[in-house]
Amino acid sequence: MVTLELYNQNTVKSQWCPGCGDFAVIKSLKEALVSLEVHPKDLVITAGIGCSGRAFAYLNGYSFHGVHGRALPLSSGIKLANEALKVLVLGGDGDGYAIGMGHFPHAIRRNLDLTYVVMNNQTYGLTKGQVSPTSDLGYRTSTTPAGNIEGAIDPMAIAMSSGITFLARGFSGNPKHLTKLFERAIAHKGFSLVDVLSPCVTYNRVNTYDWYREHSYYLDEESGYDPTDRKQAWDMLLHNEKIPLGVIFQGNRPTYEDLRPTNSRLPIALQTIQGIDYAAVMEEFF
Amino acid sequence: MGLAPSPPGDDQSNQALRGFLRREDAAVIINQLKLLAGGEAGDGVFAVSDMLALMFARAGLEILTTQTYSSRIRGGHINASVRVAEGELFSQGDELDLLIALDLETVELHRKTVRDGGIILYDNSQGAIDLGDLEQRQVTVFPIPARKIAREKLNAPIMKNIVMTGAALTAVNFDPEFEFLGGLIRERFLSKGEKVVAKNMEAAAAGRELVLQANKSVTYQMEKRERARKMLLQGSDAVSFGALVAGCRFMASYPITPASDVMEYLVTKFPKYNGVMVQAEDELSAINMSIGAAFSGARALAASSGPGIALMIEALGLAAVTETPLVIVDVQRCGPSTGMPTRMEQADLNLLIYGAHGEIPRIVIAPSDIEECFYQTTRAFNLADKYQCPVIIATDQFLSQSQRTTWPFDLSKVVIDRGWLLTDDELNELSTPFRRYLITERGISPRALPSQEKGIYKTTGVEHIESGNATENPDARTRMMQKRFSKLDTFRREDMQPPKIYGNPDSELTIVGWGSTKGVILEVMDRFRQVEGVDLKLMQLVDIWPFPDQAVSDILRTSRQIAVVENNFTGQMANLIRQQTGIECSKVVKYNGAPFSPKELYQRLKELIIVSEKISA
Repeated sequence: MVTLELYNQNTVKSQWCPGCGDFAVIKSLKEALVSLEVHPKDLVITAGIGCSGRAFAYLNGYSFHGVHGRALPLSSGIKLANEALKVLVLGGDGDGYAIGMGHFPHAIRRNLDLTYVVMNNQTYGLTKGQVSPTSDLGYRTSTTPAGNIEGAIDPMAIAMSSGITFLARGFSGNPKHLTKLFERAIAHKGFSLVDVLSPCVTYNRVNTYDWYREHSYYLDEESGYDPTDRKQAWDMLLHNEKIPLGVIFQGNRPTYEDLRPTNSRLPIALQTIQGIDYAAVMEEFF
Repeated sequence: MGLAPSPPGDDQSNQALRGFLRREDAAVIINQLKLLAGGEAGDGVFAVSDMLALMFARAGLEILTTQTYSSRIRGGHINASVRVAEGELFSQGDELDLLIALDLETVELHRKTVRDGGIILYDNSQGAIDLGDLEQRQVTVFPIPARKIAREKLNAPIMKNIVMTGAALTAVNFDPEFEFLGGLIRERFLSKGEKVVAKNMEAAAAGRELVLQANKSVTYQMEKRERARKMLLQGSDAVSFGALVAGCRFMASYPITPASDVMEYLVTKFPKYNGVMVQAEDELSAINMSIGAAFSGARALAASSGPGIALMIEALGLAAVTETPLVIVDVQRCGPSTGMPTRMEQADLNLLIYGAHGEIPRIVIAPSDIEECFYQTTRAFNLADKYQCPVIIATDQFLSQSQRTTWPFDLSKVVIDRGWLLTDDELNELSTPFRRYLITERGISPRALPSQEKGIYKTTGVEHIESGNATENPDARTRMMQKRFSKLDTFRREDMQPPKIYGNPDSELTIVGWGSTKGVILEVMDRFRQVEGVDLKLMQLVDIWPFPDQAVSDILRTSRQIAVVENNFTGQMANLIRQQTGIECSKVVKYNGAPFSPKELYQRLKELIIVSEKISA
């Protein structure tokens, strides 16, 4: 029986600021994992560096907190070596879209069955408030005292053009909606990204809870928005003055795990490597 | 002359044919040959050298090959040498007996290294060479219009290499019946049909006829010898096969010369064994993927060369501090930066033993020949699992891409030891929650793998306590650093291999080698014994880090002269020895991208040892 109580075991006290958007992310993740009945023993949480990276310690499960920007490759190795595991990748906009951006399109095009949750607060929190690749033009920080002169990147468009099979955006101000997104993302077979607008209450005084409420809206699947329609998804990403929240796109193509050539579907890491005869392979050297 | 080939098995006529090209005025050289095939990249030079090497190996002879190429696909001179002998070979040798030139540039580049009385076979489709001093030096020259024949007579330009191969075999009085070449052609082309086989045989026969018709004599004769079968493989094959046999089932790497051979080998073998090779987007990704796979419990490998290893260094620290087993192969090439990607060097030693921010335990091993490439790779996976730290195998372009005849590996000697992995029962019996980083006397902690219910733990590159939870407590930090480094003390006690000694162990003249230089040093030592009557000993370091201080110190203290032979500028091993033992050694270094040749090393050591011996006498 998978319960919230189980997910609260083996955790440590949070180091996040009161009011941090990331609390809602952890709460919703736990609820989604419970409702999907994922046992913590079958879960690996990986994380990069940053405030959001600390999240790995706040819910139960195997976890690996790696170096800055490399959570996706780390997770790819974990998942490939044991396909039976659920792998949840946690990070922030700096970790994923700046230092780790080199891995982002590649992890997506491989379409490994990973769920990537980016807690996007449009600023660097842990290093005390520098500019981020998702910061808006003109945004003032300790490293952009005259205002940000670099345009923000659009991770959603990059994900789409890299061939993502599940793309969603959530908001920490609406944990119920977030839980539903996580449930769908984790249940999706293939690479899923949930970019969560998760306000930094200490360093980002522009993109606050209220600001996000004002600047976002919910995609309504009941009255016409079809996330399986790639064209609609692109149109919506390209022509929008407000930030759409919800499942933006859900496609379907084989995962890397499905396509890799193999004789067996046993988890690689758990199969026996003892007592195998390689004489026939050695014969090729004669 | 049109001498008809005799039926196979007719010994007398074979004898007559074999002797046909023999020179009367010089002693016959039997089964001693160094050949070099050269041409433009894209010409199929390596196809020629590979076929010749394999045929001589199958004829019971010993082989040692080298490859020299540039970092481009078409154009530019490339060459491969094949040294053939009856006795064991240690190095690529010196002068050429046979030059096979697929273009005219090859003749110009290498004619000087053809020894007096040697042979040049060249494709004269595009013109003739100026004989110059070749006649005077009694070099036999065979112009073979291989391109022309392939194009005009065979209507298959690609077959020029088979024409050349047939000619080359004939020029050294070998395989008159195409017993070996015919076998090889069948093996390679039968899948394309009997017609293709027949056409290739026709090409080979055309080459043979041209040499026979030239009616020239040579002093070389190659003969079949009976011996148990030997393999012919290069260092990277042995490393890759070693990884497979060790149970490696995950590899992530990024293509890089000269390390890609390992990826390309394992990707063909893995499907049958349910393994996976991922071509990562860069080396940062490659090593992190491998660390992830190892965390899940797979035996994981990442292979690269200098530039890629440099990128992997941050994550090397992650593997060490999270105590994740990981094997890394560095096929060293000329650095720094892009350097000379296809040329050999041994200049990554400092990077491999020190590369990290902060301090980490690691093990560095340098195999020196094909057998060690195999056995040390299987050992590396055991050491990685036992000590839960990175284990680095340092080879180089020369060792990795040099094919050598080798006795079959004794697969029964390979033992797989996964280290301290707890079973579900053992986890259930724990009286306290599982502590992944339990502090123990030997420094080694128990592991659990994801999916084990009682083994759930958190690991982080942040300093941590026994449970894995992060800490900045000074005492906890001190204990954890001590714990991690105490693994190396355990390694010293239980697993470290002292340097290997070759030659006369009582000699007070010591050569120190590491990695691929062993072969040429052994050959030169033999020459010293024969020419100078001087006995040397070789101290070959295989376990390089942690450094075997005591053993090295004991060996070197009794030496009157010590010369460290290595392919780098600063003498990294000589410096390391001085740092670890206080013993000063002479440096014999080379850093031009080519391995030492026996002649040159002999001269350098002679200057160093014999001259100073005379002074001290």
